[in-house]
Amino acid sequence: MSQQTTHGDDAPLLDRIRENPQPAIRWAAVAAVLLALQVGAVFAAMMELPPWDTIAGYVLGVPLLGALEPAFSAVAGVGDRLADVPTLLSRELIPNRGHRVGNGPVFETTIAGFDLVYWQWDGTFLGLPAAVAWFVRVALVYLYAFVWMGWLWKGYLVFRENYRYADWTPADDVIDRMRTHRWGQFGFVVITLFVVMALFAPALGPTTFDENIDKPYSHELEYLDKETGEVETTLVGNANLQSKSRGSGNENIGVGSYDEYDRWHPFGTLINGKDLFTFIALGSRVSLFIGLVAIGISSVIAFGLAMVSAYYKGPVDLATVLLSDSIQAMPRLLVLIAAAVLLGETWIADIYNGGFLLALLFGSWGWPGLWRAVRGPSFQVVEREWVDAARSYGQTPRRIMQKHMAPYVVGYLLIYASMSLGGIIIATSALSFLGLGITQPTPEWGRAISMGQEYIATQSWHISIIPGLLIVIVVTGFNALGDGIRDAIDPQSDSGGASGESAAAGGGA
Amino acid sequence: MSRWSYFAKRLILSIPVILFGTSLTFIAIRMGPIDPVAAVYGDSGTAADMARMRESLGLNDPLWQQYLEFIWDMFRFDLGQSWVLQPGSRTTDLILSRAPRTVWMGFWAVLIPLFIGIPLGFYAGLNPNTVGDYTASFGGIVWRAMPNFWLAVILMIGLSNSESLLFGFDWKGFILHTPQVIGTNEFQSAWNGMQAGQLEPVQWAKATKQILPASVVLGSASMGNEMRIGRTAMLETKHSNYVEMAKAKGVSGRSLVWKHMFRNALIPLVPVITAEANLLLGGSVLIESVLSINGIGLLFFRALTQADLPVAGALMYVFILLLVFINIMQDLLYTIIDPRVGYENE
Amino acid sequence: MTDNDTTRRRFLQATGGAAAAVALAGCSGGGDGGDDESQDEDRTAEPETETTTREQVQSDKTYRRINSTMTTFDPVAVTDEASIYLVHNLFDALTNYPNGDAQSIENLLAEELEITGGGSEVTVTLRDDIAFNGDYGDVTASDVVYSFERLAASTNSRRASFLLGDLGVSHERDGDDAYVPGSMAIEATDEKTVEMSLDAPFHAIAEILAYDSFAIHPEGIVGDIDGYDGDMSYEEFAQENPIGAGAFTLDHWDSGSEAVIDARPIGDYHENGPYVSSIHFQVVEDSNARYTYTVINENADHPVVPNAQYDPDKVTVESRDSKGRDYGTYGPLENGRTVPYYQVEEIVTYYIAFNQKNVPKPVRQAFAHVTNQDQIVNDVLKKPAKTAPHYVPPGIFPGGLEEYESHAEDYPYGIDENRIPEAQSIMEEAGYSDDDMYELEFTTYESGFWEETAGILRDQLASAYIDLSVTPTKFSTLTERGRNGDLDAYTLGWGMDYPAPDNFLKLLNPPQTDTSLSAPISYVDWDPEESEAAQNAADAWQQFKDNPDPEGGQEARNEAYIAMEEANWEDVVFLDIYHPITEAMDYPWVTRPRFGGAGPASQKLAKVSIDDRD
Repeated sequence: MSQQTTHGDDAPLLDRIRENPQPAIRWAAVAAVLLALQVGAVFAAMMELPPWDTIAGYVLGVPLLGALEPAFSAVAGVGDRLADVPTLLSRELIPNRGHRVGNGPVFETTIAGFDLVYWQWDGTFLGLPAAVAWFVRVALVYLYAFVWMGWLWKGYLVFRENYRYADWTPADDVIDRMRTHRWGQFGFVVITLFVVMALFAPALGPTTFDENIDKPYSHELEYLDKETGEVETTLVGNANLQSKSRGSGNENIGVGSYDEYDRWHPFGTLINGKDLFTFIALGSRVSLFIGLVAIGISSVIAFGLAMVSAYYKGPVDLATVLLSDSIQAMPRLLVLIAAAVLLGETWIADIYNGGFLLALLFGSWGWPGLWRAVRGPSFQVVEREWVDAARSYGQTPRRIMQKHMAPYVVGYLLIYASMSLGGIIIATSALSFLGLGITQPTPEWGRAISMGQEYIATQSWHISIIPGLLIVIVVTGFNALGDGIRDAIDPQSDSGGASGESAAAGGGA
Repeated sequence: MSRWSYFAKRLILSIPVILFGTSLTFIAIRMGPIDPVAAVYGDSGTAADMARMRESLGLNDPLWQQYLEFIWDMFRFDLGQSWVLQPGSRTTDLILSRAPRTVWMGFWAVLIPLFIGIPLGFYAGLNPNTVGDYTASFGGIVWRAMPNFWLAVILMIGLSNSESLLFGFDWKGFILHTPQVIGTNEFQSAWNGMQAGQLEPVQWAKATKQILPASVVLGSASMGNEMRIGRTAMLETKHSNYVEMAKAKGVSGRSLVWKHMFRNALIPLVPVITAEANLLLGGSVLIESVLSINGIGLLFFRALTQADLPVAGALMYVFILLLVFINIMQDLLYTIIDPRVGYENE
Repeated sequence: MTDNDTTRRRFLQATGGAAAAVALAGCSGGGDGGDDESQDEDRTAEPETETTTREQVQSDKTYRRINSTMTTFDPVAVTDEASIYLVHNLFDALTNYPNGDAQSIENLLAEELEITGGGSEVTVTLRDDIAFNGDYGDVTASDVVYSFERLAASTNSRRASFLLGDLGVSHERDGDDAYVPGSMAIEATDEKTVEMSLDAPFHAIAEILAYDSFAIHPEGIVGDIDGYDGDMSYEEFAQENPIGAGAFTLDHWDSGSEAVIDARPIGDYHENGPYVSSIHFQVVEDSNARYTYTVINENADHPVVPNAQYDPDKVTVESRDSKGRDYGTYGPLENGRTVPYYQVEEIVTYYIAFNQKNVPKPVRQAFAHVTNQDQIVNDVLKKPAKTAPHYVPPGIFPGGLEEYESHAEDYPYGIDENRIPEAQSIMEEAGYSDDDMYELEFTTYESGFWEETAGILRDQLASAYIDLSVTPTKFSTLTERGRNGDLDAYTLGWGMDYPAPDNFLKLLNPPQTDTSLSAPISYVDWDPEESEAAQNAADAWQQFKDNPDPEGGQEARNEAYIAMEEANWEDVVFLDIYHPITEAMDYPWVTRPRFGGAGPASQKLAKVSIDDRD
């Protein structure tokens, strides 16, 4: 829906800004401040999110590309250094790891039946209890994210007022419709929360992947031994083993509780004593990564085929129909299960602990649905007079598809993509639940559900129930967002239809 | 082009589709890393025994020869014999002995959404933007967003412990006594009874009660879909010209809804059938493994993970045939109900 | 390699996590406690002495059990434990381990087993009071010959090498090295006598003949070997109508849900019992479902308590019986019952093996330093088990438990402790650091226990500069890759075939670990030319071989066993983790002799009786 697609051919945006730089500069200045607060985290995310090491390992393994290794490591070095720039919302600035101070609670009372015990803490933000310090950080992260959202919206308004030629474009209608579409907005908010969780995962967790999940025996922690009153030191791994949630007996660290080692667990612990919130926050990254890569792959295939088959029709179209029919004639989830079983032990499955394999599978098996969703619109648009005109004008097919057909179809792609992202998240967790797909230690929501399924009826219910509920919420959010975009782009349409609906359900997972 | 030549064309075009899927299945499982011989022996096999088994299964033949035999056997519906799961049994028998359970679960999984999802959707469409509409629509979407495997686990645990979790409500003793909360053992005795020529209504009721939770989960996605599509369809129909016309003619509300709108609103629901078949086949694998229902979904999963290639291959082939068949039937049905649909596209 | 596949496969494939449930499922327990155990447990070779006071009456009760999915009831084809539960009760073999007690062997269909020629000539005399079920008449010598010929020659046979390889019955092979049908040196010399000659003396003839693959079935029942048309189709025999001389007959089998076997009338069966009228096996796989089925709904006669519900504090051990089994009670269960309970030490070892070519020695030693067996048993297994400094379990260790414990004091890597600093310094010496970690692929078969253990080890090893990537894999893939020498580190278990240390230590005999051979016994490539310890192990094995004399050679053999254990310590070939203990429970109304180390599937259920349930 960006303006460039409708007005890109007129004067370049830069020229217009040059004519009247003031509002743009004002906006950009604030944006720069906002960015500066977090620049380190941005680069850290870039360095962390994709599995660079593994990718580099395979890429550099190819003889010719091996020559590029110095360049790679130089880029990586710069990236790492930028990642070290201090940031506002870091764990270092608002730490929540610390321990109680030894001389008993500062303050102890009972209000309305609740025991309120307040300890002095050492090492946490302002000496606050770990839970409070953590809440402060989470609240700041989300506040920051929403300030950014607001500022981007402001940027759009600045653009519309100062730099756009036309007083009105169809995009305005789209946005207006979106502004009154409560259901779509609900989805938007949920997805924003989810994406922020994925982006800021390292800062959100009460502890880190490295310390708590990946190498717990390389880290130490200090805690107050309640019996001796002394501050003791132990390995995180050993503390984890004593903090397990295992249903029977007294082994349980439930929602919103401290363990014996002064660690705060907002969602409780897993069966192996690791922190569930940290696991879930990082798991959202994995889900988002798989979803986006898969949608990317499907979109490229589907979009390309839709353009080509709509433009050339005839045998090309028939071949595409046959291929897509063939793929759709095999039950999707069964194929995914089969492929995950069969490819589970090849090198592809090593990348990102199986995440890349899943993304590849979803992508390469998911395009027919997407293609069907955009095929109709593509056929319609090819009949329009402007395409004919462009053809008679002597433009190349490639350029016609790019310039005149693609923009019309891209909206449908968005709707479908939003719908199927939810389906991919469900299917990913389903495969991980069956023990296919993502392997340890990589956090994935389905793995948590599978770990905890024996314990649902016990006091350790949180292990399975919380990730499950989160999936429900996020998937609902993606569907709502999809609905919103659909109604906003074309209130009359019911694109997506049956295939879109089934994509949203994750193929029965 | 007449309906029949269209039909013939569809049939011819389905041949490459089936061939593609079958070949892919063959390639994946025969060239993949799983080895049936190792699956049978585990750690304890000796090289001599394993070589003997390999030879007797024909695994030492050239691959192209195995491929041609596989395709030819499938074409003749000679589905072969199981290697690992039940050595020596005919695959057909194996599938037929498991199929009734899956069909029984699938039957209810189709029926429940049809009789709950569509009416709810139509209701929502007839009363748009009311509290009822919002509740139904929102409920449908959330219901659909629940992962089946998760819902199945929760239902299973929840109903088994219903007395402590649901304030003393005893599901096991509710209406009929079914000690095993979810499963097919009551169905099995009902089925055996029927094969012996006795129809036992109580037994069938027990079987239904026992399968309902599984079917509700399996049908959850379809239910959400059908509700949404039903709602949209009813909305569109409601605003279409002929309904306005009928209203202007003074057709009464009730007969308007039933005679004019209902039938037309059903049309967009037709493609849901294909989507649903796909959902049922995929979903049955997960639900059957989570709930330990020994149907064909679980059979497929076991066959695949234990390298029982004839069974996995045959099942995939049957599934492909089923989906292709349903697809053709759906398009044919389309041309019958809705004359506007042409034969040219696809 | 020989049998106890029953035990071994059960344990290998089904351990830990959900698996603990399986192990429990199989178990069930002995009588009502201490008093009546002596009836059944101290049995001698003559079954008659067992009778004591038990009244020979068959009740109309059905014994209700749960089982996993069964595959086939053809004894020569069966390889999985779930099917063996039934096969063992449908068929009888020439010999038997009473109640699965692997340390005693008795004749069953055989009246006498006469072994001559220094252990290479066997004459079997059959009892004359044994009949197949149905109309198949008495068991005769020709039935034995037919059954063995099927084991050797049928395309359905999966265990021919027990007969032709381990036992080593003389036979001919054709140009393709395949068995020539009918060429075995087994002959029925009269109605009740069978003579066999072996290629070489074999020391465990009676033991091997007890395996279910050697079960006797009527001559000509199926036509899958030359010279027989078959009374019925193979499918019918293997799935619907297996005919044997066991105490039960198959009533029906519905492969997805249940199997029922019916008791033969008392007196029709040649031993005492059966005391129940039938046994019902419900197929339940999922551990939650098993718990619901057996405990909450009490639909089976034995409770199954999966890990999630298991609480070690509910075990009360009262005493120890004459076979060293602790017994007492477990409970209360969720259904309010407290049930009889006992523990059986399995002669089994679980270990982590390292391919010596693929993994450098410092890494292996660091791994051993880091590993804390006690932590693994307590935190992951959460069940009784003995942590293992040795590969040979205490029950068969030279000098017994006492010697086992005292020799364990020399264990160089700290049993039951995490020695991360030691591991770090070994790795640092070898040049590894945080920036240069050793990448080790750790392949486990799919089991909750091993995956969780691998998780803990992965966490701990990361601090010792070892980057463990854990690959859970199908059991079959693991062994396949092992045979090809593709594994770095892997997990397996080993169960006893016959009670002697060499049955374990043969896995550590360096020449048999070479994965370039077609059939390595273990997959570690321990090469005497590369390692001094491997040379010591090979020498020790030779010493064992050179001293076959049962009495006079004992000391030399024991010395060799210890030498092999120490060589294993030095090179960390197998890192031993634990010896399992099976916990068995039954509901109070079940009377059943306690089973022994060979496991519950090797117990004939004819001796089970059911009192009134309440």
